[in-house]
Amino acid sequence: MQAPGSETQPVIVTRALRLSYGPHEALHGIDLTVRRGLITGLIGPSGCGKSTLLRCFNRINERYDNVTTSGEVMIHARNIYDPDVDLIELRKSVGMVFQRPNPLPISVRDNVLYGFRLHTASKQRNRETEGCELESALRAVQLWDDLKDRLGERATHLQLEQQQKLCIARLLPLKPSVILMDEPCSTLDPNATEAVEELMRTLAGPYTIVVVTHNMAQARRISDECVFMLLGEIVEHRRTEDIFIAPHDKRTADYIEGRFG
Amino acid sequence: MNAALPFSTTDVTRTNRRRESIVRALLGIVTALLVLPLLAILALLVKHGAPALTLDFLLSSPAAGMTAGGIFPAIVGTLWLVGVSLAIAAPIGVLAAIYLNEYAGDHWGTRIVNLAIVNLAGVPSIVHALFGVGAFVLFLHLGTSILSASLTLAIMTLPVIIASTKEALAAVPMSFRQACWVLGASRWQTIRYVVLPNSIQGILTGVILQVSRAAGETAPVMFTGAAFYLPFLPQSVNDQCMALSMHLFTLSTQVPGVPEALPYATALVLVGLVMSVNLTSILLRSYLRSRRRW
Repeated sequence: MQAPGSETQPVIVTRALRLSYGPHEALHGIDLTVRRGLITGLIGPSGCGKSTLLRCFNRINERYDNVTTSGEVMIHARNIYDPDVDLIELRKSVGMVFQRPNPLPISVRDNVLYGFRLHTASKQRNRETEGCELESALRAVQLWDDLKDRLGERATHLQLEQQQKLCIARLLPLKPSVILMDEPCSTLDPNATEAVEELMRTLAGPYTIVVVTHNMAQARRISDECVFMLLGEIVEHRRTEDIFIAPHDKRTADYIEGRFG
Repeated sequence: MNAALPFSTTDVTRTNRRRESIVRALLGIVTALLVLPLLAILALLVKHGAPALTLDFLLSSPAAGMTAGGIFPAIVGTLWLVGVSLAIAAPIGVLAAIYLNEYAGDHWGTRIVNLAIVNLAGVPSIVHALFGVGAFVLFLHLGTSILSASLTLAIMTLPVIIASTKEALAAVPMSFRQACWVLGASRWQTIRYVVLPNSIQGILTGVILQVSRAAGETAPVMFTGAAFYLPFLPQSVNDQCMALSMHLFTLSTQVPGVPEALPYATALVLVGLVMSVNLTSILLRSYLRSRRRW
């Protein structure tokens, strides 16, 4: 599934990334390269630090008290922990989707346009540009046909699958290059999961996706590369088919085969 | 024997069930009793006060050395005091609560502020009154005036407004805020477009409930701005005024020969005023709820 030539284009590169919650170190020196246009899956048992690592990529960890980070996270060849990095610009470029869909309790239209309105000067916004952004974002997540007559409806009343797709759609008007997903299907039923996975496949390419998942089968279905983490370290990072068919490390093999976790 | 059949009641089950119904009845009775004092107070006030409660009573000044006439200046005075004190306390309290809940982190500085707020809420109203005399009447040379009394009431209601506003803000789900963070919203944008619209009902309720408290307090206004008797209505915040609570105290204890119905009717008006404010807050909340587009 890898796009030819993409191997040479890293989007996220971490070097000796360490993160502590108070005195407790959760990431012990992570060196990871995430490549452009791929879906990279982060797998591992609970508490291994995969969500923590994901939250380093848009620095949302810092909203929680008592977090200290060291090392480098290069995104588009810029260390995002540099003091003069603008967090707002970073978050526009690196979007995030959560475990539980969290649309705001406003209309479908206002949800999709929320970020766009925050970051676009009011002079450059009018009914046309907004309509354009709205339609293309909803089309990109395959919701346009379902929701085009229900744009005024409150987003929290939609089905969970639609809510999660909406949470992806609202990132798109900000023109992100990376989308981080923290177990995006764990509250969805199998049909909805399939729909969201299919959507992720269509978004990969133009967008670089990093997805945390507990679900081995899902990691295998959707990811191009897989990163197996254990106790705050990366054990193995290879192409998904390789890691599942012939893992190098015994711990990876044990986890994949369900001997622990 | 019954005992041999499956699912038959045993002795232990029977005892448990009896206990269950006793506890349930006890809790229910205690809860029901809570309504009694309110009903009793209202009944008493209506019984003794209703005969004196006429339109003339509401719209005229006290006469004949307080033993006749109405309470109009006291009503007007209470409205002044409550209005001015809220105009001071509500914005300061809400803004401080927004800062404490949304901006300030958890460190020794904010802990001291929070401790101060909690303790300020526990200071008895008579102490607030003395502080008001010292700080506003004497030190700031505001004299005994509506302004001094309202500032004193504001200091008294502030901690509760801050606490209830913080509670309302904290009740906004974390997931709404996260949605804003990942879209690159600034803190103020998050507050303005997500936190406030989803907490305004709770904030207003907290603020309005303090109206009733400010209207009923006697001690803080007694030395700072409320007068025993004034033949004229206040023209500005620099004037003194009469107040319902103070007037009630005066009628009940300070003046001989007051007909029994007068203090009761005054109390009835005060309670009625407070209740109608609370009713307004309920109506305002349901109006806000229906008006929201979401």
